[in-house]
Amino acid sequence: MDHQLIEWFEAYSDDLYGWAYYKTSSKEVAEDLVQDTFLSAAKGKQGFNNQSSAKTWLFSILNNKIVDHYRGRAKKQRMAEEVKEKEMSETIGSFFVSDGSWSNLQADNVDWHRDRELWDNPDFVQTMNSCMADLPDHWRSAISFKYLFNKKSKEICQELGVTQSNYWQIIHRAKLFLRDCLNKLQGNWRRSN
Amino acid sequence: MDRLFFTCEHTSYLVERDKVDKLPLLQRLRYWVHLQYCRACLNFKRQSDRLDDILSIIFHKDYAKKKLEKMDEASKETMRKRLEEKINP
Repeated sequence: MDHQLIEWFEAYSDDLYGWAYYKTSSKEVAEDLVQDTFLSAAKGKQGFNNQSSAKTWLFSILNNKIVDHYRGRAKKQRMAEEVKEKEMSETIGSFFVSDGSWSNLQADNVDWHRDRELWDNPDFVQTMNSCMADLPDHWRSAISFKYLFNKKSKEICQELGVTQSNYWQIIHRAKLFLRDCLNKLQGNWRRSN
Repeated sequence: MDRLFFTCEHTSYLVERDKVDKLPLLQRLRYWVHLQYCRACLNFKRQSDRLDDILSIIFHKDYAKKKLEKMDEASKETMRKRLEEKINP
């Protein structure tokens, strides 16, 4: 490695790793992405003309790698997840009766949303994380892009490779599922109330 | 009459869609009318709004913890060697 790359590696690899780990929640994937970032930087170094700082440039390479990671993962797992998505869509379909009204169970006036500072309740956070883990990967990616990256829907659709109406449908179904999951499991964090 | 009013199923879809991309005016009016008379849908909207707040906070709290993670020295050294092998074969 040339001297400058070594300097960049020593100066920025930890920051790049922390960001990649946050975005992907996987240490192994984060390490791979950081390695790929420096490999791309080594190839493209001639084109780096100091218009931005080296850190900014490396982060932009890393962010593109992260987007590719999510896109590639969504495509690969799509076939395996199709069955899960179909089953979950059917379950969510049963939340409504034939005339489009809520089923009796779903229309129950559950009020966990009135609880204060739920995010500080470890039992609630654990319940929420377990509900999130039950989502199909494609739906969970869509939720992550919406809340983690805080991007506009058009950008998220491009990055996930879905149409806008498909994206709305995914978010709709994911939120219906999460709400139902929390309704059913509210005893986990409300038992002491 | 059926054409004037949305079903609960469609309204629940519009709850999410309205947050992502604002609904056209007439559709938003019909959506608002449904929420005025349907308690179950109003409850769903409130829970969905709360979920938005919760998910944002949980994800950002998670970020505060994860961004401080560093590679351990052994992994860093392995990566350094791997990069040297690939860049200077």
